[in-house]
Amino acid sequence: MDKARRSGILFLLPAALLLGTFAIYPVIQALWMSLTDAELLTPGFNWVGFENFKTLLSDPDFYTSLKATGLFVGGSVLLQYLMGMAGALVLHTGRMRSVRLFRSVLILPYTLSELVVGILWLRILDSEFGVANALLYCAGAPPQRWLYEWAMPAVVVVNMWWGTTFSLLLFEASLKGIPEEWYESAKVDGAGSWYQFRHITLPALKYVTFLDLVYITLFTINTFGIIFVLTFGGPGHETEVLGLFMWKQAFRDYNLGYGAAISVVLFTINIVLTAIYLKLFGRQVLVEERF
Amino acid sequence: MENTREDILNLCILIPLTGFALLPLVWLFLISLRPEEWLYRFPPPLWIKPTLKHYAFAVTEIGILGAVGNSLLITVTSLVVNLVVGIPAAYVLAKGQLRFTAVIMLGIIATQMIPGMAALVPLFQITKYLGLINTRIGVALILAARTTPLTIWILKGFFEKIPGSIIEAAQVDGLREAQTIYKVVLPLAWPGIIAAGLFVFMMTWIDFLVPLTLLFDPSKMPFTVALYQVVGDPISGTNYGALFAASILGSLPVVLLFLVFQRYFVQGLTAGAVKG
Repeated sequence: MDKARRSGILFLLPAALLLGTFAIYPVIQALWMSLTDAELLTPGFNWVGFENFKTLLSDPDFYTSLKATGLFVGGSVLLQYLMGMAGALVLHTGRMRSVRLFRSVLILPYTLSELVVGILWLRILDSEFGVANALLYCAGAPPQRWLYEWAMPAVVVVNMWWGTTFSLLLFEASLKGIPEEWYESAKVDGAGSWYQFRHITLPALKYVTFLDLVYITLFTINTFGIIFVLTFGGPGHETEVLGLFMWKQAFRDYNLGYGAAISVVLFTINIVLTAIYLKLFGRQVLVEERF
Repeated sequence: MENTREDILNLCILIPLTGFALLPLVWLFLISLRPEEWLYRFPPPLWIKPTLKHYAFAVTEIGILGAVGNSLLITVTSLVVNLVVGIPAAYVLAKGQLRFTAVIMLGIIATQMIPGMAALVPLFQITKYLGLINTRIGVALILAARTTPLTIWILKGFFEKIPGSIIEAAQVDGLREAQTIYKVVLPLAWPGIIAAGLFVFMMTWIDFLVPLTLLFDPSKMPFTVALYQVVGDPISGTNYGALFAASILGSLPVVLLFLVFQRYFVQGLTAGAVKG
């Protein structure tokens, strides 16, 4: 047993080293920097205690940003989960030869960088020359100013278009791990497809669903490349999610300390949401159930 | 009869889903093949004689082929580091019966919970300190650190499903722990490793901010950064045709990789060897 523990630590060590250097240190740095007035490009800083957080909490733009983040993340996570699950189920059950072709097409959006995704959709949604309005024109409908009147739905849909691949592949790989016999015996008992999905598939996917939700949530909270290109937070502050708000403060206005405080708030939101998922799914998703 | 009905139902979901994924890409492809005047006509004409000039521009002016070479170097290095470090960790967390598994799992994912943008300044300092600034290996290591938590989480799920009895049998046969992973665990968790590997590859392939911040030499830039040259040029604006042509060339390696590995991905787990 002692030997097993030693090899256990040995197996964890490389990961600990890599993460310690390049992943944990930046988190710690963000934490202490949020307590300073550090500026980008200006050396030196002063400790200011919780001043940055006080400023943040009295900044009306912060609350607008919080609301935008809620809508963007809520919408994206929900849609990506549903689309990913639906896609994975049909790809998994489909026995047609064409399934491979469909799967290959479905992963294509995620081979583009965020920047290109943003610019491509900027062309598509352009109010003068965009193909979205051309389609409306063909249908005889009036053109729309997509990135003004429909800004939030537009960025959510584009984000879903790009990011669903993650849930899709994750769920499909996991569906392949469910033993066929489980379904066989349910079918013998006369269970319908919905019953099988509800009582075999979903419970078997519990761990991976938790993983998927935690990850797509943190992906969506922490990135803003698509919004940066499509709306830059506009119109007004409607789509200015916290990540972009942070970027504007830290990198456009050089307030590194204030930006770090926003990062710490984002970090906290991520932790709280993970805790909520953990509560929903039960603590045992983290440790193997032994039976 | 039952089966054909199911197939039709599947197609009813697959066709719109795939159409939604595909149509914007068709548009991207068309823009890459047409002269730029075409972009500013409404409604857009359906047929225009295609041109390959944007692709030529992408190869000669943007230097996309060299940039794709850099992307390959960075991504493959990063993926190897990721798997070498992630597989043993995931194995111990799945099977090692450590006391703090739950805490470690949460700690691992918590490292990913601050915005990538916020990590750039400290990462710059660390790589400079380690002498890895302006090196592709530095970028590869940082991106490996960013993707390793995902690998550990995905693989832990797959490793847990391998029955303890198989592992015990291997150890009775005299295999050491490292050999057990290599000879017994990996073959059984293959779809998980392919899925994790593909995902890590894709995430690393399209990363933009880390190389943009940590590399200065144009000759070392991956394709995502190289693309940026033709975005928002102050004189001519964004050269959409060239941008999209270069972007398509940049996506090709990932698509090819996916086509090759999809076969293993589809195979699923060895029947009967795994419980839920």
